[in-house]
Amino acid sequence: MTPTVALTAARWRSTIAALAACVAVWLAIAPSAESSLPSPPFTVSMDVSPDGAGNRVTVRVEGLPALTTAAAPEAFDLYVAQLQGFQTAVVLTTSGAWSPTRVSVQRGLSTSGLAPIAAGWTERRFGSMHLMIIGARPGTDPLVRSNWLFRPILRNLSLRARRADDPQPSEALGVVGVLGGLSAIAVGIVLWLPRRRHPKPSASALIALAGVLLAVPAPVDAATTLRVGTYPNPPLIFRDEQGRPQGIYVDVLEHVARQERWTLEYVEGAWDQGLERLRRGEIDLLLAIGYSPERSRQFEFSHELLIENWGQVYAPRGANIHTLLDLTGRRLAVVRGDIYYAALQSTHETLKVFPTFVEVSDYADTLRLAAQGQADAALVPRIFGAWAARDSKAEKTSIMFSPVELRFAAPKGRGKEVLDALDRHLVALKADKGSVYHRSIRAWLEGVRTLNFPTWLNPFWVAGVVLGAGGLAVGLNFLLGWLVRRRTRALRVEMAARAKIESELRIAREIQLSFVPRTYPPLSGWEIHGDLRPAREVGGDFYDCFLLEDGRLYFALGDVSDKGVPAALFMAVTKTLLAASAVTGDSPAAIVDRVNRRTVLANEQCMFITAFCGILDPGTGRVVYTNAGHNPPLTLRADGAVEVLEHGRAPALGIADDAQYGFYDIVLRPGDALFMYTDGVTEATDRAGAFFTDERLRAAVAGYRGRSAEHLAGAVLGEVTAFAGGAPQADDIAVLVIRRAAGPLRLRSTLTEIDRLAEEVMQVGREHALPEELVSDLRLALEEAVANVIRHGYGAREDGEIRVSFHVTPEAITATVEDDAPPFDPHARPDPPLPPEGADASGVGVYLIKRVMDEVDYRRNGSCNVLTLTKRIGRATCR
Amino acid sequence: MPLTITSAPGEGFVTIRPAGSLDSNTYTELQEHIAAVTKSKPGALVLDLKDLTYISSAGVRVLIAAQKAMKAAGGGFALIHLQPQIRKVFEIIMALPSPNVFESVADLDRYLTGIQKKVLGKDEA
Repeated sequence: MTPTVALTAARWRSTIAALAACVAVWLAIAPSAESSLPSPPFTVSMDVSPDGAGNRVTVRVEGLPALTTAAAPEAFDLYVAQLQGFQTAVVLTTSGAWSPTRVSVQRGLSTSGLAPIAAGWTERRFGSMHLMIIGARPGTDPLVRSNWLFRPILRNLSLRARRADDPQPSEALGVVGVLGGLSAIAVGIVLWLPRRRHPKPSASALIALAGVLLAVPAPVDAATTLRVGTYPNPPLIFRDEQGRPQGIYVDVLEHVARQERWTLEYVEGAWDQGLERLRRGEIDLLLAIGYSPERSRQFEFSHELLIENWGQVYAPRGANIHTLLDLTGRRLAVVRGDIYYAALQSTHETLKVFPTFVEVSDYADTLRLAAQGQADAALVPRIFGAWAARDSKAEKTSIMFSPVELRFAAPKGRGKEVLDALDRHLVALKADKGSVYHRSIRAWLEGVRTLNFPTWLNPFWVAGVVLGAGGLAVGLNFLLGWLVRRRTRALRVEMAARAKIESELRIAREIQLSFVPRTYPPLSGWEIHGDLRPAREVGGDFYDCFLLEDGRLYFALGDVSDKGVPAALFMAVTKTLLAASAVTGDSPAAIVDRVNRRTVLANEQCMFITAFCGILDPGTGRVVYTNAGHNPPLTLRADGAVEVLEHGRAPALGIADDAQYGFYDIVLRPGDALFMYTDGVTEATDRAGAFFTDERLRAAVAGYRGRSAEHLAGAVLGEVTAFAGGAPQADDIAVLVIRRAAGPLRLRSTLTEIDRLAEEVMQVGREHALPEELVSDLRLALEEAVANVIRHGYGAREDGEIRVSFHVTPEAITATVEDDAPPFDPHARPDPPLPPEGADASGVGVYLIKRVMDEVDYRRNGSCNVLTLTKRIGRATCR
Repeated sequence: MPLTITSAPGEGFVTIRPAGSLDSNTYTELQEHIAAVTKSKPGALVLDLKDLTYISSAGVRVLIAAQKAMKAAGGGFALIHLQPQIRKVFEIIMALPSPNVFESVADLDRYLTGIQKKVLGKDEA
């Protein structure tokens, strides 16, 4: 606990320092100063290429001929200032005081000598780097605005040739590492000593262990050799200039391989070759393969996704390609066997999009063809596109589709252990924000401004080294006593703080649960029911529904990409934005689109939200919906068929401001139910770690045909709970069910119809497994009611209509009889004289109804008689 | 829900066995059957309800009417083998011809023997 406090404090300090630096930099490049300055009279190009020790960064300046204006003096200095994540500013010059050896910039440029100049240096860091090029008066402080001659040039560079988890190749580092390791062992022992009474593994024990691991190189003793298929798909996988495999997949795989002691043998080829090799079992693992149900029949897939990808179309500037429809008749460069290509082919009939496909074998070729005009557009994965398109003339269009989960795949029936191990490691890697997984993604994908400490420079580590060395010098005894006192104090403070936080979290939970509706809009002929079960006190799942002014029902269900408090805050914002957007009465696509733009704008945490959003017209049963990256809901039809609403999956909210959302529709007929859920349902795990799965969910939903929305939701969640068998809930769970009540049975006003009535009652009884006696009572009451309407209500008329409907809940069954005959209130009639007085037992029908039912309610509704009969279900008869 | 009716003449009485569902749709069938049987003026009418699975007030009315008709003609009337769900309906509307409902064939036989004696005595007189 103490180390946690120290670490938090260190983070605070570094955050404050970073903020201060940001403010300073912002002041330095404040727009007012910039705009008053002329444009620089030269162009700057930059190049990054890997060399043995890191990345060689080259800055090349080419002067423009007209450097004779008043604004351009005869000579000036050029500075390249590096703003790493806007957190530190390092000015690099040959003669300046700060860092004289790192870069050489030619000084004293004159208006006459404008030959191109270049400067370069080797950068050992990786990730995103911001450079500012300033032309300043010679011999003055380059960061002072008043010394600037031109508007500064800002550039972002991605340093990506190094592998994310390579240790720094510095000799000094070895010394630091050994020192760090030894000191950490000392600190570990010191911290550990007073804890011996608590046999739990502690953070300090882990530090000690880490120290040992760092000091003693792990023996390489490989038991398994894996042949790994790669293909050019940077930055996921590719070969660098030296032919070494690189990329996010490689970083993660090699990390796992070290842990599992696998030896990796890379097999390079085109994408379709890799696929064929996997099919024939010539390789053990294929990287960067998108998951699809078809492919899962051919290959074994890991479960955990590495990253989500989707198809993205690029086109040269001015190609005038903005939507899918613009592709018809154009040449679209695609990769053979590509999953996005397949997705487009399988839907282009439906979408009426008919491009001419130009097939090539790797993604880079598609962009090249588009840039050279041999194709009008190129289809590539979005991650590759973001990586490669900077160097290409092709630009990102707003056409994106078919999100795919990238996973690992092995040949069918093989590699189960390898895939399981990958899954296991990935779960752990994803959970740790500082893991190789997250560092690699930040390093390879651009634009994420985070400061990455290499492992050895972790502030916690540095603190550990300093503390350990100091502690040894002062003496173990003193340190021991001091630590015990400090820990006790910290513990007391922390316990008080924790109690306060826990109480606040309980309140937060109550507030969050009150966010989602617990009572539902009264919509005649419809049933609505939702349930929310956060995994922790609060969570990121939500649902919502309310009536729009025009009488339609808006509803939504969503899932924020995280758990706990951050997700809960985001959930509250998103739900509110959606609701505010929905009251306009626009289509769900427009609602979602608006919210997406807002979410992308204000999303520093890079959180995203998957959501399913729809609007129901209760009159027709038509549901118009949009799916923003959410699990497709299920439709339970009245006949028991279960359909998956696969259509229209678009990117989740908060990912791309130019994501396109279409809308689709489905009609709910009487007895149909729409079952929406979050992945906490299908990914609920039992004690052995097995998932509940989509298949189990489908089977569960199918088992409750004819049940009310509330019953369906409750019973399915009941099955999930039973499946988990006491295993802790790992993820938030939300479900929302919208069901159109089954249509009434329509009878003509003739006594022969009594047969159909009896059949229906018995059918309902079977469907809901109701006790025989109850069914018999219900049949009797309904026969008496209907026979009365036929005999007395409609009299001799045979063309009257009687409508009978049923509503079953776990507690009771309610039957409603409606007819258009003259008013008849059974309560207004006195009970008939019973035999022997009323010897012919006439008029006993109503009396029988009242006796065998628990509640009998009559009302006149316009020109209808509505008789409602309710019978309570005595015991739990339903599954 | 169909109703099938069989009847078997005994010594001085007729047993009618309605099987299935006696409801608003089928009660007329039993009504007609009973009318036909009572034309031959049996000394007693026995309704064996062993296979009757369902009855509604329409069916009850037929049985009560038959009982009244037999009583008026000085004949006997008996119900036997009432299933629980049938008994329940009779009980609710208190329509059981209480002295003449039998659980067992032995009880019914005693009753019918009494009827037979009465009938025979009348004939002899």
